[in-house]
Amino acid sequence: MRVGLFIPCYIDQFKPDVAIATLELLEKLGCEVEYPTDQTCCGQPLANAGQESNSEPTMRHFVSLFADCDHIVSPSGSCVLHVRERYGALGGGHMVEKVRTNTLELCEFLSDVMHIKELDSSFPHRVGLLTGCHGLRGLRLGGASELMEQGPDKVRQVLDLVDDLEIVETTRPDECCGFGGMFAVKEEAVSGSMGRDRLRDFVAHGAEYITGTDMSCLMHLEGIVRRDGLPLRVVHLAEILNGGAQ
Amino acid sequence: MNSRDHILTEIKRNRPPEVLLPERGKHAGDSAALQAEGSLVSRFESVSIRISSEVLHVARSDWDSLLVGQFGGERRIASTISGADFGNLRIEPDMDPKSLSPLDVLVCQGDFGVAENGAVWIQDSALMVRAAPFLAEHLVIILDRTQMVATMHEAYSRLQTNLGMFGMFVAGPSKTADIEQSLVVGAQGPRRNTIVLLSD
Amino acid sequence: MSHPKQAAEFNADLERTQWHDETLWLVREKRDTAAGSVPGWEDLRERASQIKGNALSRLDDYLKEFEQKAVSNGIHVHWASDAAEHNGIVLQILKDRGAKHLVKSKSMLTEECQLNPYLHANGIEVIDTDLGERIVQIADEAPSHIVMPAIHMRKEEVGDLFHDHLGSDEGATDPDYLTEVARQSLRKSFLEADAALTGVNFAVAETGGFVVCTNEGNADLGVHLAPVHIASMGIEKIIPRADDLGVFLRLLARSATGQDLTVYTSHFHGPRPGAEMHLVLVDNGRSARLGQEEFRDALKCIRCGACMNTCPVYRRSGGHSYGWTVPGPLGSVLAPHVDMESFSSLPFASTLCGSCTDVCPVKIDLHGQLYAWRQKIVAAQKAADRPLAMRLMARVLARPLAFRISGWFARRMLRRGWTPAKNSMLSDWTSSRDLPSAPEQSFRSWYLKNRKVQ
Repeated sequence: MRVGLFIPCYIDQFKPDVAIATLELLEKLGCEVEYPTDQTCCGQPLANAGQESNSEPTMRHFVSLFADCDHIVSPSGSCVLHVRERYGALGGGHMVEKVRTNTLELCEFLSDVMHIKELDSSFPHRVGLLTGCHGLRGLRLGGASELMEQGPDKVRQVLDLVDDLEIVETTRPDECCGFGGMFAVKEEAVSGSMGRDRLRDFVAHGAEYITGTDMSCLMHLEGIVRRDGLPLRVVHLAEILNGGAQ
Repeated sequence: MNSRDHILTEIKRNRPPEVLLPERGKHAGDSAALQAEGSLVSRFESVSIRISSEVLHVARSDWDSLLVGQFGGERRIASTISGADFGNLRIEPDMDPKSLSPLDVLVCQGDFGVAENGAVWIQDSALMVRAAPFLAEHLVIILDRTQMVATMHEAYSRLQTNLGMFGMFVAGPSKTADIEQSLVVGAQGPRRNTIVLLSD
Repeated sequence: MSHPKQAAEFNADLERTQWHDETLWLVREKRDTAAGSVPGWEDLRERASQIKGNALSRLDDYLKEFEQKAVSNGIHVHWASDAAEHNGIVLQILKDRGAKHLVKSKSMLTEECQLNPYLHANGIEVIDTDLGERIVQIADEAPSHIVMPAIHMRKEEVGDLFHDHLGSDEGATDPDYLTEVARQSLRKSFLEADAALTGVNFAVAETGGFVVCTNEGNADLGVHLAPVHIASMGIEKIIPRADDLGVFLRLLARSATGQDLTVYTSHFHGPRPGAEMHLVLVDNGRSARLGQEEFRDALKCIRCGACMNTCPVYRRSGGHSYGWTVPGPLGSVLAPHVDMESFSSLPFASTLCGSCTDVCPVKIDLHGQLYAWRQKIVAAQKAADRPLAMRLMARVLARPLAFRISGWFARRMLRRGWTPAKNSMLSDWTSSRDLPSAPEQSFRSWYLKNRKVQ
């Protein structure tokens, strides 16, 4: 299976281990992975800040890089949602539609396209799971607590394939962690409050590690963990799935 | 152009293309499970208790004597039930509603109950004075236990457009949680809500 | 006004913020329990959304049908283009009857129109009879939530207020006792009032009647005792058929407070003998919003407040930090219509988590509208007013080489222990978070070294 690897800008620049884990995982599972080296960004930071129209060159660049891929996979729910939900702003057209509809988040891809049933990975720890809101409610990667009818939880299904990993249940199942892009700095007081509350919930339920689908959310939480000296380690789920997280 | 014309013109100019109206009365049903009369009543009763209503099961022949026993005495009691002979206050449609105040008990006839929420439909013909069920410290509703529907969908199927000049659903005694989300039963209307379920 | 500034002030009192957040979260949980008890809840939401969609698409027809039926039942129907006209109509009705003492039940529309100060300035005494509204009226504050107006106040504060204004015992804080004091005081007001005003939850085109929902019974105590009932209604409150009430009433209270139904659901079709009933239909920008494809769905709103209860930002910043009649997600999509510049911070007071959209009983895409507002707000800013960093970002992100160089530079700075300048954008990151550590190389560099590139 030929897969285009879409690495979010901030992972490329600041958390390359997550990208390496994603690449290695896909290769282990038998994918032929292509990484277009001229990637920059999907444009989300601009669009969410109100500059969607200014992000058009960035979006078009993205589409041109991945135009030949049948599947485009990314370890980020938020970026993938942006492509799927907002790239219609480029006005349709065959290439845009193909890229838009074929861009998948990692767990979506593993679950819906590869239908994986086993993973060679062990992680004997209690883990707090943060499925980023954009992935959770936007891509429906899992069941949102607001809804009375739940679809399959693709993130949990994939994590369940990891030996000895225990997902801790929290009091508030899926409250936003408070990152939200520019929100994290523009509304710093509330952002910090949300992050600390989410972490307190994880700690209270015995989590040793925090993991999730979005490194952006995780970096926000990790920043608080380090500042407040909390007894937690933060890893992206790609690192757990790939087996190199410890 | 007057405001009415101006507003209607603006609306016509701006309204979106027509969205189809869902068919009347066809609802994803939870009613089926509740349809048997026995379980409608028991569901109505358990919900009523949860919302702080009191429910009495009384035979049709006994109910007025039961009430005389409960509410006899000097207190101000009004009843709009025709043919029943208790209550010491005159209540008539043309009276000044303020003259009913203060009112300790109002006894009135409910039309039907709604099992999913413990509500009873009461129309103004059964109230005579619209203010009465709100002025009363204690509202007592007489209800035939066979007159029960499962959900609000069935309620409106039953009512159609026969809503009278005034009608209401009452679900429990008045309440509020406006102070620190603490539930207080007996806010501004009745402090007690009793439903007397009549059977043959 | 600035939401971030107000929110920061709110958060300065950590204990109070956590109390406010926890109190509202409990209401969200009650909503979940109630919604979970209704088989087909999601279907019901879809149905409600479609009914409202139909109502909006035929709004003028339904309003005319409604008016004709209402008038034939003896209701006086008035039309008001804007807030000032609404207020003038209400005043005129009162003046024509020599009414000086008005009791008023909850109506966000009358808040929007600022009716109370207008009437007060014109010699009318107005008593808000909903307990939460009475509390904020006495406190001379704005409501902080559309369903629970005094949710931001502790019982000690209410106790002090009532002691000063209603004669309750000093230091008393028991909600039962305080509610009783308010009951006695308001009962006097009801018996003395010469006019009563209510809002409208739903107006039924098919029958010409309208529905008012309360838990306290205060709307009914007002209107059934006073000789005049004035009902103020936004034009978007119309629904096509009586049957549709079944759908909306099953959704409303469960979404708002977790109750299966409000205690009183009163259906008004005509005045009682000897009394008068008036209905004021208010536009005040609604017909304009109807024409805006991105924003019109907000007109479906049934004012349940569920979006506020679920919003993690509202819960941690409080209703007053939004600076407008309606707070939270709903307020943030409505206020910019009134003044886009003043309220420009509101659509950004969100992480776009989407929780509000998922609880909305009529499926308004609230966070989608927040996103749409962001585009409009920034487009309206003069280019020079947009942050330099953002303008540069747009150029850098479209150019692979510029992107790589910027990233390399940022990593280098981080490794050298750089911290953001005080009061710069990034210094807000570091007030409660450490910066990430900087890797030696980007993924791209690693990839070029470790994988064959064709």
